[in-house]
Amino acid sequence: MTNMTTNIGGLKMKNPLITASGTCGYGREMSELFDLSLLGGIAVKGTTLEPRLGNPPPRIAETPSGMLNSVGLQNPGIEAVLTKELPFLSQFDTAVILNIAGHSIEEYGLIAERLDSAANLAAVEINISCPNVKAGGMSFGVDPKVAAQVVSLVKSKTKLPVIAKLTPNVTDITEIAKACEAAGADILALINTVLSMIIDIETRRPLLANGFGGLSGPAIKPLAVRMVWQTAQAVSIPIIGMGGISTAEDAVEFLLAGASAFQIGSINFHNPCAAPQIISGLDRWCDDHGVKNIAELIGAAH
Amino acid sequence: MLLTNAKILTNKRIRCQADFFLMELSAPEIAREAIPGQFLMLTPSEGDSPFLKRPMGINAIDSGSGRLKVIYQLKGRGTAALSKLRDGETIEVLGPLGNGWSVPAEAKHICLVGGGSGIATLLPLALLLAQDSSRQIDIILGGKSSEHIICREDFPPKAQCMIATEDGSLGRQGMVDLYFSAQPSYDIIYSCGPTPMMRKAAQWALSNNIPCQVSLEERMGCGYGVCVGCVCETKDQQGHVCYKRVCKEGPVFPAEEVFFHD
Ligand SMILES: Cc1cc2nc3c(=O)[nH]c(=O)nc-3n(C[C@H](O)[C@H](O)[C@H](O)COP(=O)(O)O)c2cc1C
Ligand code: FES
Repeated sequence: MTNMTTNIGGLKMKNPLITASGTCGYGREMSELFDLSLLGGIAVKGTTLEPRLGNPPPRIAETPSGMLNSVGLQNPGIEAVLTKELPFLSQFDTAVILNIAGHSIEEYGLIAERLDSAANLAAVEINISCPNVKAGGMSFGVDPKVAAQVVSLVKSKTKLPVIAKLTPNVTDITEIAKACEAAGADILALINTVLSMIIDIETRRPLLANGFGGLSGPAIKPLAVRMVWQTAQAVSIPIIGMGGISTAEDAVEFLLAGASAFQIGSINFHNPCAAPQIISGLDRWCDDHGVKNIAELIGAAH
Repeated sequence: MLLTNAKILTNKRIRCQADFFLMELSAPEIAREAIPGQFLMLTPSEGDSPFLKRPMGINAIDSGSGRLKVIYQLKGRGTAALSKLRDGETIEVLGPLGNGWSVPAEAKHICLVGGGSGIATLLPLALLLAQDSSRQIDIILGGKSSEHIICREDFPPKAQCMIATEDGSLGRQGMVDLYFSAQPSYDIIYSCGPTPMMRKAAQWALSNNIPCQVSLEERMGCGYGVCVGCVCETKDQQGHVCYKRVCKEGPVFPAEEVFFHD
Protein backbone atom coordinates (compact mmCIF):
# COMPACT_ATOMS: atom_id res chain seq x y z
CA MET A 1 0.00 0.00 0.00
CA THR A 2 1.37 3.32 -1.10
CA ASN A 3 0.55 6.48 0.79
CA MET A 4 -1.61 8.33 -1.71
CA THR A 5 -2.92 11.08 0.53
CA THR A 6 -2.84 14.34 -1.29
CA ASN A 7 -2.96 17.62 0.56
CA ILE A 8 -2.51 20.58 -1.72
CA GLY A 9 -3.37 24.25 -1.37
CA GLY A 10 -5.97 23.52 1.31
CA LEU A 11 -7.57 20.65 -0.64
CA LYS A 12 -7.30 17.31 1.18
CA MET A 13 -7.92 14.07 -0.68
CA LYS A 14 -7.38 10.36 0.06
CA ASN A 15 -5.75 9.95 -3.33
CA PRO A 16 -4.77 12.22 -6.24
CA LEU A 17 -7.54 11.17 -8.66
CA ILE A 18 -10.39 13.57 -9.42
CA THR A 19 -13.06 12.95 -12.06
CA ALA A 20 -13.03 15.96 -14.39
CA SER A 21 -15.79 18.50 -14.72
CA GLY A 22 -18.32 17.73 -17.45
CA THR A 23 -17.42 14.06 -17.55
CA CYS A 24 -19.14 12.76 -14.42
CA GLY A 25 -22.31 14.87 -14.12
CA TYR A 26 -23.11 15.31 -10.44
CA GLY A 27 -22.08 11.76 -9.56
CA ARG A 28 -25.49 10.07 -9.63
CA GLU A 29 -24.93 7.88 -12.69
CA MET A 30 -21.40 6.85 -11.72
CA SER A 31 -22.55 5.97 -8.21
CA GLU A 32 -24.57 3.13 -9.76
CA LEU A 33 -21.31 1.60 -11.00
CA PHE A 34 -18.87 2.09 -8.11
CA ASP A 35 -18.56 3.65 -4.68
CA LEU A 36 -17.74 7.34 -5.15
CA SER A 37 -15.94 7.30 -1.80
CA LEU A 38 -13.08 5.60 -3.65
CA LEU A 39 -12.39 8.86 -5.49
CA GLY A 40 -9.92 11.44 -4.28
CA GLY A 41 -12.37 14.03 -5.58
CA ILE A 42 -15.14 14.74 -8.02
CA ALA A 43 -15.33 17.96 -10.02
CA VAL A 44 -18.97 18.48 -10.96
CA LYS A 45 -20.30 19.96 -14.19
CA GLY A 46 -19.55 23.63 -14.96
CA THR A 47 -22.11 25.77 -13.12
CA THR A 48 -23.32 29.23 -14.08
CA LEU A 49 -25.43 31.79 -12.19
CA GLU A 50 -28.60 31.13 -14.21
CA PRO A 51 -29.70 27.91 -15.91
CA ARG A 52 -28.12 27.45 -19.36
CA LEU A 53 -29.59 25.61 -22.31
CA GLY A 54 -26.22 24.77 -23.85
CA ASN A 55 -25.41 24.40 -27.53
CA PRO A 56 -27.66 22.70 -30.09
CA PRO A 57 -26.88 19.12 -31.14
CA PRO A 58 -24.86 17.49 -32.57
CA ARG A 59 -22.49 18.17 -29.70
CA ILE A 60 -20.18 15.15 -29.82
CA ALA A 61 -17.87 13.72 -32.45
CA GLU A 62 -15.23 11.04 -32.31
CA THR A 63 -11.68 11.79 -33.47
CA PRO A 64 -8.59 9.62 -33.76
CA SER A 65 -7.90 8.65 -30.12
CA GLY A 66 -10.25 11.22 -28.71
CA MET A 67 -13.35 13.28 -29.16
CA LEU A 68 -14.72 16.75 -29.74
CA ASN A 69 -17.49 18.28 -27.66
CA SER A 70 -19.49 21.46 -27.79
CA VAL A 71 -21.87 20.90 -24.89
CA GLY A 72 -21.65 24.58 -24.05
CA LEU A 73 -22.23 24.54 -20.29
CA GLN A 74 -25.75 23.15 -20.18
CA ASN A 75 -26.54 23.29 -16.44
CA PRO A 76 -29.46 24.10 -14.13
CA GLY A 77 -27.79 27.16 -12.50
CA ILE A 78 -26.12 27.61 -9.11
CA GLU A 79 -29.32 27.63 -7.03
CA ALA A 80 -30.47 24.21 -8.32
CA VAL A 81 -26.95 22.79 -8.09
CA LEU A 82 -26.67 23.84 -4.42
CA THR A 83 -30.12 22.62 -3.41
CA LYS A 84 -30.78 19.64 -5.70
CA GLU A 85 -27.43 18.22 -6.83
CA LEU A 86 -24.73 18.72 -4.19
CA PRO A 87 -26.72 17.23 -1.26
CA PHE A 88 -26.66 13.85 -3.06
CA LEU A 89 -22.87 13.87 -2.89
CA SER A 90 -22.72 14.47 0.88
CA GLN A 91 -23.19 10.71 1.49
CA PHE A 92 -19.76 10.02 -0.03
CA ASP A 93 -16.38 10.53 1.56
CA THR A 94 -14.77 12.36 -1.35
CA ALA A 95 -13.69 15.94 -2.06
CA VAL A 96 -16.48 17.70 -3.99
CA ILE A 97 -15.16 20.42 -6.27
CA LEU A 98 -17.55 22.87 -7.90
CA ASN A 99 -16.52 24.01 -11.37
CA ILE A 100 -17.90 27.48 -12.14
CA ALA A 101 -18.22 29.50 -15.32
CA GLY A 102 -19.55 32.91 -16.33
CA HIS A 103 -20.36 35.24 -19.19
CA SER A 104 -18.76 38.16 -17.36
CA ILE A 105 -16.21 38.72 -14.59
CA GLU A 106 -19.04 39.80 -12.25
CA GLU A 107 -20.92 36.54 -12.83
CA TYR A 108 -18.01 34.55 -11.35
CA GLY A 109 -18.16 36.74 -8.24
CA LEU A 110 -21.93 36.32 -7.87
CA ILE A 111 -21.60 32.53 -7.99
CA ALA A 112 -18.58 32.46 -5.66
CA GLU A 113 -20.36 34.39 -2.91
CA ARG A 114 -23.00 31.64 -2.70
CA LEU A 115 -20.52 28.85 -2.07
CA ASP A 116 -19.58 29.20 1.59
CA SER A 117 -23.14 28.19 2.49
CA ALA A 118 -22.73 24.78 0.82
CA ALA A 119 -22.02 22.11 3.43
CA ASN A 120 -19.92 19.71 1.41
CA LEU A 121 -17.70 21.66 -0.95
CA ALA A 122 -13.95 21.09 -0.74
CA ALA A 123 -12.86 23.61 -3.38
CA VAL A 124 -14.03 25.78 -6.24
CA GLU A 125 -12.54 25.34 -9.70
CA ILE A 126 -12.78 28.36 -11.99
CA ASN A 127 -13.26 27.48 -15.62
CA ILE A 128 -11.75 30.48 -17.36
CA SER A 129 -11.93 28.86 -20.78
CA CYS A 130 -15.42 30.07 -21.58
CA PRO A 131 -16.13 33.09 -23.76
CA ASN A 132 -16.31 36.54 -22.15
CA VAL A 133 -19.44 37.90 -23.77
CA LYS A 134 -18.66 41.51 -22.85
CA ALA A 135 -15.25 41.21 -24.48
CA GLY A 136 -16.61 39.99 -27.80
CA GLY A 137 -16.55 36.32 -26.85
CA MET A 138 -12.80 36.05 -26.25
CA SER A 139 -12.02 33.55 -23.50
CA PHE A 140 -11.17 34.96 -20.03
CA GLY A 141 -8.30 32.52 -19.92
CA VAL A 142 -6.29 33.94 -22.81
CA ASP A 143 -5.55 37.32 -21.25
CA PRO A 144 -3.38 37.24 -18.11
CA LYS A 145 -4.92 40.47 -16.74
CA VAL A 146 -8.50 39.25 -17.17
CA ALA A 147 -7.67 35.79 -15.81
CA ALA A 148 -6.13 37.44 -12.74
CA GLN A 149 -9.19 39.65 -12.23
CA VAL A 150 -11.50 36.62 -12.23
CA VAL A 151 -9.27 34.74 -9.78
CA SER A 152 -8.91 37.59 -7.31
CA LEU A 153 -12.63 38.35 -7.40
CA VAL A 154 -13.53 34.70 -6.67
CA LYS A 155 -10.81 34.53 -4.00
CA SER A 156 -12.32 37.57 -2.26
CA LYS A 157 -15.82 36.04 -2.21
CA THR A 158 -15.18 32.58 -0.78
CA LYS A 159 -13.08 30.88 1.87
CA LEU A 160 -12.81 27.71 -0.23
CA PRO A 161 -9.50 26.81 -1.86
CA VAL A 162 -9.53 28.32 -5.36
CA ILE A 163 -8.39 26.28 -8.36
CA ALA A 164 -7.81 28.18 -11.61
CA LYS A 165 -8.43 25.86 -14.56
CA LEU A 166 -6.40 26.97 -17.54
CA THR A 167 -7.09 26.75 -21.23
CA PRO A 168 -4.39 25.39 -23.55
CA ASN A 169 -5.58 27.70 -26.34
CA VAL A 170 -2.87 30.30 -25.66
CA THR A 171 0.63 31.00 -26.91
CA ASP A 172 2.31 30.84 -23.50
CA ILE A 173 0.44 29.07 -20.72
CA THR A 174 3.06 30.02 -18.12
CA GLU A 175 2.15 33.69 -18.49
CA ILE A 176 -1.48 32.96 -17.53
CA ALA A 177 -0.36 30.55 -14.81
CA LYS A 178 1.88 33.19 -13.19
CA ALA A 179 -0.90 35.79 -13.36
CA CYS A 180 -3.34 33.42 -11.61
CA GLU A 181 -0.75 32.58 -8.95
CA ALA A 182 -0.11 36.26 -8.30
CA ALA A 183 -3.88 36.88 -8.07
CA GLY A 184 -4.14 34.40 -5.22
CA ALA A 185 -5.06 31.07 -6.81
CA ASP A 186 -4.31 28.20 -4.43
CA ILE A 187 -4.01 25.56 -7.12
CA LEU A 188 -3.81 25.45 -10.94
CA ALA A 189 -5.61 22.83 -13.04
CA LEU A 190 -4.65 22.18 -16.64
CA ILE A 191 -5.51 21.55 -19.38
CA ASN A 192 -9.02 22.20 -20.56
CA THR A 193 -10.01 21.06 -24.06
CA VAL A 194 -8.16 22.13 -27.20
CA LEU A 195 -10.18 24.25 -29.65
CA SER A 196 -10.73 22.10 -32.74
CA MET A 197 -13.00 21.38 -35.67
CA ILE A 198 -14.31 18.56 -37.85
CA ILE A 199 -15.87 19.03 -41.26
CA ASP A 200 -18.38 16.52 -42.59
CA ILE A 201 -17.21 15.95 -46.16
CA GLU A 202 -20.62 14.68 -47.29
CA THR A 203 -22.60 17.72 -46.16
CA ARG A 204 -19.58 20.03 -46.62
CA ARG A 205 -20.44 21.68 -43.31
CA PRO A 206 -18.81 21.65 -39.87
CA LEU A 207 -19.96 18.49 -38.11
CA LEU A 208 -20.78 20.05 -34.75
CA ALA A 209 -23.76 22.43 -34.74
CA ASN A 210 -21.60 24.95 -32.91
CA GLY A 211 -18.85 24.78 -35.56
CA PHE A 212 -15.91 24.45 -33.18
CA GLY A 213 -15.54 22.04 -30.29
CA GLY A 214 -13.03 21.08 -27.62
CA LEU A 215 -10.69 18.16 -28.25
CA SER A 216 -10.05 15.80 -25.36
CA GLY A 217 -8.88 12.26 -24.75
CA PRO A 218 -5.60 10.41 -25.40
CA ALA A 219 -4.96 12.55 -28.50
CA ILE A 220 -4.11 15.60 -26.33
CA LYS A 221 -1.96 13.88 -23.72
CA PRO A 222 1.52 14.86 -24.95
CA LEU A 223 0.38 18.46 -25.31
CA ALA A 224 -0.99 18.42 -21.78
CA VAL A 225 2.16 16.84 -20.32
CA ARG A 226 4.28 19.52 -21.98
CA MET A 227 2.11 22.30 -20.54
CA VAL A 228 2.15 20.79 -17.04
CA TRP A 229 5.94 20.54 -17.26
CA GLN A 230 6.31 24.18 -18.33
CA THR A 231 3.86 25.43 -15.73
CA ALA A 232 5.56 23.46 -12.96
CA GLN A 233 8.77 25.32 -13.76
CA ALA A 234 7.04 28.70 -13.73
CA VAL A 235 4.95 28.64 -10.52
CA SER A 236 5.29 27.38 -6.98
CA ILE A 237 1.62 26.57 -6.27
CA PRO A 238 0.45 22.97 -6.79
CA ILE A 239 -0.84 21.73 -10.12
CA ILE A 240 -3.64 19.33 -10.99
CA GLY A 241 -2.78 17.82 -14.36
CA MET A 242 -5.19 16.42 -16.94
CA GLY A 243 -5.67 15.78 -20.62
CA GLY A 244 -5.93 12.30 -22.08
CA ILE A 245 -5.21 10.23 -18.99
CA SER A 246 -6.55 6.72 -19.46
CA THR A 247 -4.27 4.49 -17.39
CA ALA A 248 -2.33 4.57 -14.13
CA GLU A 249 0.88 4.88 -16.20
CA ASP A 250 -0.50 8.03 -17.88
CA ALA A 251 -1.22 9.46 -14.43
CA VAL A 252 2.36 8.73 -13.31
CA GLU A 253 3.59 10.67 -16.34
CA PHE A 254 1.65 13.77 -15.22
CA LEU A 255 2.96 13.46 -11.67
CA LEU A 256 6.53 13.19 -12.97
CA ALA A 257 5.93 16.28 -15.10
CA GLY A 258 5.09 18.22 -11.96
CA ALA A 259 1.41 17.66 -11.15
CA SER A 260 0.48 16.88 -7.54
CA ALA A 261 -2.90 15.42 -8.49
CA PHE A 262 -4.70 14.60 -11.71
CA GLN A 263 -8.14 14.51 -13.27
CA ILE A 264 -9.62 11.99 -15.67
CA GLY A 265 -12.21 13.14 -18.20
CA SER A 266 -13.14 11.52 -21.49
CA ILE A 267 -11.89 8.10 -20.40
CA ASN A 268 -14.99 7.96 -18.18
CA PHE A 269 -16.99 7.65 -21.42
CA HIS A 270 -14.78 4.91 -22.87
CA ASN A 271 -14.73 3.03 -19.57
CA PRO A 272 -17.20 4.13 -16.86
CA CYS A 273 -15.16 2.22 -14.25
CA ALA A 274 -11.84 3.82 -15.23
CA ALA A 275 -11.56 5.80 -11.97
CA PRO A 276 -11.40 2.90 -9.49
CA GLN A 277 -9.24 0.94 -11.95
CA ILE A 278 -6.71 3.77 -12.27
CA ILE A 279 -6.57 4.25 -8.49
CA SER A 280 -5.80 0.57 -7.86
CA GLY A 281 -3.47 0.49 -10.86
CA LEU A 282 -1.54 3.43 -9.44
CA ASP A 283 -1.18 1.69 -6.11
CA ARG A 284 0.14 -1.41 -7.89
CA TRP A 285 2.52 0.60 -10.04
CA CYS A 286 3.95 2.33 -7.00
CA ASP A 287 4.38 -0.99 -5.17
CA ASP A 288 6.16 -2.49 -8.18
CA HIS A 289 8.46 0.51 -8.41
CA GLY A 290 9.23 0.84 -4.73
CA VAL A 291 7.36 4.12 -4.33
CA LYS A 292 6.16 4.45 -0.74
CA ASN A 293 4.56 7.85 -1.00
CA ILE A 294 2.96 9.22 -4.13
CA ALA A 295 4.60 12.58 -3.37
CA GLU A 296 7.97 11.07 -4.34
CA LEU A 297 6.84 11.18 -7.96
CA ILE A 298 5.80 14.82 -8.13
CA GLY A 299 8.07 16.69 -10.52
CA ALA A 300 10.65 13.90 -10.42
CA ALA A 301 11.28 14.18 -14.18
CA HIS A 302 12.65 17.72 -13.90
CA MET B 1 -27.04 -0.40 -15.18
CA LEU B 2 -23.85 -2.40 -15.04
CA LEU B 3 -20.58 -2.86 -16.88
CA THR B 4 -19.67 -6.44 -17.76
CA ASN B 5 -17.60 -8.51 -20.11
CA ALA B 6 -20.07 -10.42 -22.21
CA LYS B 7 -19.28 -13.50 -24.23
CA ILE B 8 -20.08 -13.23 -27.92
CA LEU B 9 -22.19 -16.24 -28.85
CA THR B 10 -22.77 -15.23 -32.46
CA ASN B 11 -21.59 -12.33 -34.59
CA LYS B 12 -22.61 -12.75 -38.19
CA ARG B 13 -23.75 -10.94 -41.27
CA ILE B 14 -27.47 -11.42 -41.81
CA ARG B 15 -27.90 -9.34 -44.96
CA CYS B 16 -25.44 -9.32 -47.84
CA GLN B 17 -26.05 -6.01 -49.54
CA ALA B 18 -27.57 -3.98 -46.72
CA ASP B 19 -24.66 -4.89 -44.40
CA PHE B 20 -26.72 -5.84 -41.35
CA PHE B 21 -25.04 -7.91 -38.65
CA LEU B 22 -26.52 -9.80 -35.73
CA MET B 23 -24.63 -10.16 -32.47
CA GLU B 24 -25.81 -12.45 -29.72
CA LEU B 25 -24.31 -11.96 -26.27
CA SER B 26 -24.34 -13.80 -23.02
CA ALA B 27 -24.87 -11.14 -20.34
CA PRO B 28 -27.17 -12.61 -17.68
CA GLU B 29 -27.25 -9.65 -15.26
CA ILE B 30 -28.09 -7.21 -18.02
CA ALA B 31 -30.65 -9.57 -19.59
CA ARG B 32 -32.39 -9.88 -16.25
CA GLU B 33 -32.91 -6.11 -15.96
CA ALA B 34 -33.50 -5.14 -19.60
CA ILE B 35 -36.87 -4.10 -21.00
CA PRO B 36 -37.91 -3.48 -24.62
CA GLY B 37 -36.71 -0.14 -25.98
CA GLN B 38 -33.55 0.00 -23.88
CA PHE B 39 -30.09 -0.08 -25.39
CA LEU B 40 -26.51 -1.19 -24.72
CA MET B 41 -23.17 0.55 -25.15
CA LEU B 42 -20.68 -1.81 -26.77
CA THR B 43 -16.92 -1.22 -26.70
CA PRO B 44 -15.67 -2.03 -30.21
CA SER B 45 -12.04 -2.04 -29.16
CA GLU B 46 -10.09 -2.14 -25.92
CA GLY B 47 -7.67 0.50 -27.11
CA ASP B 48 -8.50 4.09 -28.00
CA SER B 49 -9.30 3.49 -31.65
CA PRO B 50 -12.20 3.89 -31.96
CA PHE B 51 -12.39 5.81 -28.70
CA LEU B 52 -16.10 5.84 -27.95
CA LYS B 53 -18.53 3.04 -27.24
CA ARG B 54 -21.37 2.43 -29.68
CA PRO B 55 -25.05 2.54 -28.72
CA MET B 56 -27.08 -0.46 -29.94
CA GLY B 57 -30.81 -0.99 -29.41
CA ILE B 58 -31.67 -4.32 -27.86
CA ASN B 59 -33.25 -6.67 -30.40
CA ALA B 60 -34.01 -9.65 -28.18
CA ILE B 61 -34.04 -10.25 -24.44
CA ASP B 62 -34.02 -13.74 -22.96
CA SER B 63 -33.75 -13.34 -19.22
CA GLY B 64 -33.99 -17.12 -18.69
CA SER B 65 -30.88 -17.98 -20.68
CA GLY B 66 -29.22 -14.60 -20.04
CA ARG B 67 -28.95 -13.82 -23.74
CA LEU B 68 -29.31 -10.55 -25.57
CA LYS B 69 -29.24 -9.73 -29.28
CA VAL B 70 -28.39 -6.57 -31.14
CA ILE B 71 -28.52 -5.86 -34.87
CA TYR B 72 -26.20 -3.30 -36.40
CA GLN B 73 -25.53 -1.97 -39.85
CA LEU B 74 -21.95 -1.37 -41.01
CA LYS B 75 -21.64 2.40 -41.00
CA GLY B 76 -18.25 3.50 -39.78
CA ARG B 77 -15.15 2.61 -37.78
CA GLY B 78 -17.02 1.41 -34.71
CA THR B 79 -19.31 -1.02 -36.47
CA ALA B 80 -16.44 -2.15 -38.71
CA ALA B 81 -14.46 -3.08 -35.57
CA LEU B 82 -17.51 -4.79 -34.07
CA SER B 83 -18.02 -6.85 -37.23
CA LYS B 84 -14.51 -8.29 -36.91
CA LEU B 85 -15.09 -9.77 -33.46
CA ARG B 86 -15.33 -13.57 -33.43
CA ASP B 87 -17.73 -15.95 -31.74
CA GLY B 88 -16.34 -16.86 -28.33
CA GLU B 89 -14.52 -13.56 -27.79
CA THR B 90 -15.66 -11.18 -25.07
CA ILE B 91 -16.82 -7.62 -25.39
CA GLU B 92 -17.33 -4.94 -22.76
CA VAL B 93 -21.01 -4.05 -22.44
CA LEU B 94 -22.69 -1.30 -20.42
CA GLY B 95 -26.41 -1.65 -19.91
CA PRO B 96 -29.29 -1.77 -19.85
CA LEU B 97 -29.53 1.92 -20.66
CA GLY B 98 -32.32 4.41 -21.26
CA ASN B 99 -35.99 4.35 -20.38
CA GLY B 100 -37.55 1.84 -22.79
CA TRP B 101 -41.04 1.82 -24.28
CA SER B 102 -43.94 2.27 -21.93
CA VAL B 103 -47.07 0.25 -22.48
CA PRO B 104 -50.38 1.48 -21.09
CA ALA B 105 -52.36 -1.53 -19.79
CA GLU B 106 -55.54 -0.35 -21.47
CA ALA B 107 -53.97 -0.15 -24.96
CA LYS B 108 -55.56 -2.94 -27.03
CA HIS B 109 -55.28 -1.83 -30.63
CA ILE B 110 -51.69 -0.93 -31.34
CA CYS B 111 -49.62 0.10 -34.34
CA LEU B 112 -45.82 -0.13 -34.74
CA VAL B 113 -44.06 1.84 -37.49
CA GLY B 114 -40.44 0.94 -38.15
CA GLY B 115 -37.59 1.27 -40.60
CA GLY B 116 -33.87 0.54 -40.85
CA SER B 117 -32.24 -0.86 -37.73
CA GLY B 118 -35.18 0.72 -35.85
CA ILE B 119 -37.15 -2.39 -36.79
CA ALA B 120 -34.83 -4.35 -34.51
CA THR B 121 -35.83 -2.33 -31.44
CA LEU B 122 -39.54 -2.70 -32.16
CA LEU B 123 -39.31 -6.51 -32.14
CA PRO B 124 -39.04 -7.04 -28.35
CA LEU B 125 -41.89 -4.54 -27.92
CA ALA B 126 -44.08 -6.49 -30.36
CA LEU B 127 -43.34 -9.75 -28.53
CA LEU B 128 -44.17 -8.17 -25.19
CA LEU B 129 -47.43 -6.71 -26.53
CA ALA B 130 -48.42 -10.05 -28.04
CA GLN B 131 -48.31 -11.74 -24.63
CA ASP B 132 -51.73 -10.23 -24.00
CA SER B 133 -53.99 -12.15 -26.39
CA SER B 134 -56.69 -9.46 -26.30
CA ARG B 135 -54.35 -7.07 -28.13
CA GLN B 136 -54.53 -6.47 -31.85
CA ILE B 137 -51.17 -5.42 -33.30
CA ASP B 138 -50.48 -3.89 -36.70
CA ILE B 139 -46.90 -3.53 -37.85
CA ILE B 140 -45.85 -1.24 -40.69
CA LEU B 141 -42.27 -1.67 -41.88
CA GLY B 142 -40.46 0.31 -44.53
CA GLY B 143 -37.06 0.37 -46.20
CA LYS B 144 -35.12 0.74 -49.44
CA SER B 145 -35.52 -2.90 -50.51
CA SER B 146 -36.48 -6.30 -49.12
CA GLU B 147 -32.90 -6.58 -47.76
CA HIS B 148 -33.62 -3.67 -45.43
CA ILE B 149 -36.71 -5.20 -43.86
CA ILE B 150 -34.96 -7.10 -41.08
CA CYS B 151 -36.50 -9.43 -38.50
CA ARG B 152 -39.80 -9.78 -40.34
CA GLU B 153 -39.93 -13.55 -39.66
CA ASP B 154 -39.55 -12.93 -35.93
CA PHE B 155 -42.59 -10.73 -35.32
CA PRO B 156 -45.49 -12.48 -33.57
CA PRO B 157 -47.55 -14.42 -36.14
CA LYS B 158 -50.81 -12.93 -34.90
CA ALA B 159 -49.64 -9.39 -35.72
CA GLN B 160 -50.65 -8.03 -39.10
CA CYS B 161 -47.50 -7.02 -40.97
CA MET B 162 -47.59 -4.38 -43.75
CA ILE B 163 -44.45 -3.71 -45.77
CA ALA B 164 -43.43 -0.88 -48.07
CA THR B 165 -40.16 -0.83 -50.00
CA GLU B 166 -38.84 1.99 -52.17
CA ASP B 167 -37.94 -0.41 -54.98
CA GLY B 168 -41.05 -2.53 -54.62
CA SER B 169 -39.02 -5.70 -53.99
CA LEU B 170 -41.24 -6.55 -51.03
CA GLY B 171 -44.78 -5.42 -50.14
CA ARG B 172 -46.09 -2.27 -51.76
CA GLN B 173 -43.76 0.13 -53.53
CA GLY B 174 -43.34 3.39 -51.65
CA MET B 175 -43.05 4.64 -48.08
CA VAL B 176 -44.69 3.50 -44.85
CA ASP B 177 -47.34 6.23 -45.11
CA LEU B 178 -49.04 4.21 -47.86
CA TYR B 179 -50.56 2.33 -44.95
CA PHE B 180 -51.52 5.37 -42.87
CA SER B 181 -55.32 5.08 -42.87
CA ALA B 182 -57.47 8.21 -42.83
CA GLN B 183 -59.21 7.48 -39.55
CA PRO B 184 -57.02 5.17 -37.53
CA SER B 185 -58.56 3.69 -34.42
CA TYR B 186 -55.35 2.79 -32.59
CA ASP B 187 -54.96 3.33 -28.86
CA ILE B 188 -51.24 4.01 -29.29
CA ILE B 189 -48.63 4.18 -32.06
CA TYR B 190 -44.93 3.38 -31.57
CA SER B 191 -42.22 4.34 -34.03
CA CYS B 192 -38.51 3.76 -34.46
CA GLY B 193 -36.61 4.42 -37.67
CA PRO B 194 -35.17 7.21 -39.77
CA THR B 195 -36.21 10.70 -38.62
CA PRO B 196 -38.45 11.49 -41.64
CA MET B 197 -40.35 8.25 -41.03
CA MET B 198 -40.81 8.98 -37.33
CA ARG B 199 -41.92 12.49 -38.10
CA LYS B 200 -44.61 11.19 -40.49
CA ALA B 201 -45.75 8.56 -37.99
CA ALA B 202 -45.91 11.19 -35.24
CA GLN B 203 -47.92 13.61 -37.40
CA TRP B 204 -50.31 10.84 -38.37
CA ALA B 205 -50.80 9.84 -34.71
CA LEU B 206 -51.04 13.30 -33.21
CA SER B 207 -53.38 14.69 -35.89
CA ASN B 208 -55.73 11.85 -34.98
CA ASN B 209 -55.31 12.39 -31.24
CA ILE B 210 -53.56 9.08 -30.77
CA PRO B 211 -50.71 8.91 -28.23
CA CYS B 212 -47.39 8.20 -29.89
CA GLN B 213 -43.93 7.21 -28.66
CA VAL B 214 -40.81 7.59 -30.75
CA SER B 215 -37.31 6.24 -30.09
CA LEU B 216 -34.59 8.72 -31.04
CA GLU B 217 -30.97 8.31 -32.06
CA GLU B 218 -28.22 10.85 -31.39
CA ARG B 219 -24.43 10.82 -31.34
CA MET B 220 -23.41 9.57 -27.91
CA GLY B 221 -20.33 10.19 -25.82
CA CYS B 222 -21.02 8.07 -22.77
CA GLY B 223 -24.49 6.50 -23.09
CA TYR B 224 -25.13 6.73 -19.35
CA GLY B 225 -25.95 10.37 -18.76
CA VAL B 226 -22.71 12.04 -17.75
CA CYS B 227 -21.51 13.91 -20.84
CA VAL B 228 -24.75 15.69 -21.89
CA GLY B 229 -23.62 15.20 -25.46
CA CYS B 230 -26.61 13.29 -26.81
CA VAL B 231 -29.36 15.84 -26.31
CA CYS B 232 -32.43 16.29 -28.46
CA GLU B 233 -34.57 19.38 -28.68
CA THR B 234 -37.83 18.96 -26.78
CA LYS B 235 -40.59 21.29 -25.60
CA ASP B 236 -41.80 21.37 -22.03
CA GLN B 237 -45.42 21.88 -21.01
CA GLN B 238 -45.16 25.65 -21.48
CA GLY B 239 -43.79 25.08 -24.97
CA HIS B 240 -40.27 26.22 -24.00
CA VAL B 241 -37.35 24.53 -25.72
CA CYS B 242 -35.22 22.34 -23.50
CA TYR B 243 -32.54 19.79 -24.26
CA LYS B 244 -33.02 16.29 -22.93
CA ARG B 245 -30.49 13.48 -22.90
CA VAL B 246 -31.47 10.80 -25.40
CA CYS B 247 -29.50 8.23 -23.40
CA LYS B 248 -31.13 8.97 -20.05
CA GLU B 249 -34.50 10.73 -20.39
CA GLY B 250 -34.89 8.78 -23.68
CA PRO B 251 -34.37 7.16 -26.07
CA VAL B 252 -38.19 6.88 -26.04
CA PHE B 253 -40.07 10.17 -25.92
CA PRO B 254 -43.73 11.09 -26.26
CA ALA B 255 -43.94 12.33 -29.86
CA GLU B 256 -45.58 15.63 -28.87
CA GLU B 257 -42.46 16.64 -26.88
CA VAL B 258 -40.04 16.25 -29.76
CA PHE B 259 -38.91 18.66 -32.46
CA PHE B 260 -37.94 16.53 -35.46
CA HIS B 261 -34.89 17.78 -37.36
CA ASP B 262 -33.61 15.80 -40.34
C1 LIG C 1 -18.19 16.45 -22.67
C2 LIG C 1 -17.22 17.31 -21.91
C3 LIG C 1 -17.70 18.34 -21.10
C4 LIG C 1 -16.83 19.16 -20.39
N1 LIG C 1 -17.32 20.16 -19.59
C5 LIG C 1 -16.47 20.93 -18.86
C6 LIG C 1 -16.95 21.93 -17.96
O1 LIG C 1 -18.17 22.10 -17.78
N2 LIG C 1 -16.03 22.69 -17.30
C7 LIG C 1 -14.69 22.49 -17.45
O2 LIG C 1 -13.91 23.19 -16.81
N3 LIG C 1 -14.22 21.54 -18.26
C8 LIG C 1 -15.06 20.75 -18.96
N4 LIG C 1 -14.55 19.77 -19.80
C9 LIG C 1 -13.09 19.57 -19.89
C10 LIG C 1 -12.60 18.43 -19.01
O3 LIG C 1 -12.89 18.68 -17.65
C11 LIG C 1 -11.09 18.21 -19.19
O4 LIG C 1 -10.42 19.38 -18.84
C12 LIG C 1 -10.71 17.83 -20.61
O5 LIG C 1 -11.69 16.98 -21.18
C13 LIG C 1 -9.34 17.16 -20.73
O6 LIG C 1 -9.26 15.95 -20.05
P1 LIG C 1 -9.50 14.50 -20.73
O7 LIG C 1 -8.63 14.45 -21.94
O8 LIG C 1 -9.16 13.51 -19.68
O9 LIG C 1 -10.95 14.45 -21.13
C14 LIG C 1 -15.42 18.95 -20.51
C15 LIG C 1 -14.95 17.91 -21.32
C16 LIG C 1 -15.82 17.08 -22.00
C17 LIG C 1 -15.26 15.97 -22.85
S1 FES D 1 -24.37 10.10 -24.26
FE1 FES D 1 -23.49 11.09 -22.58
S2 FES D 1 -25.20 12.03 -21.64
FE2 FES D 1 -26.07 10.84 -23.20
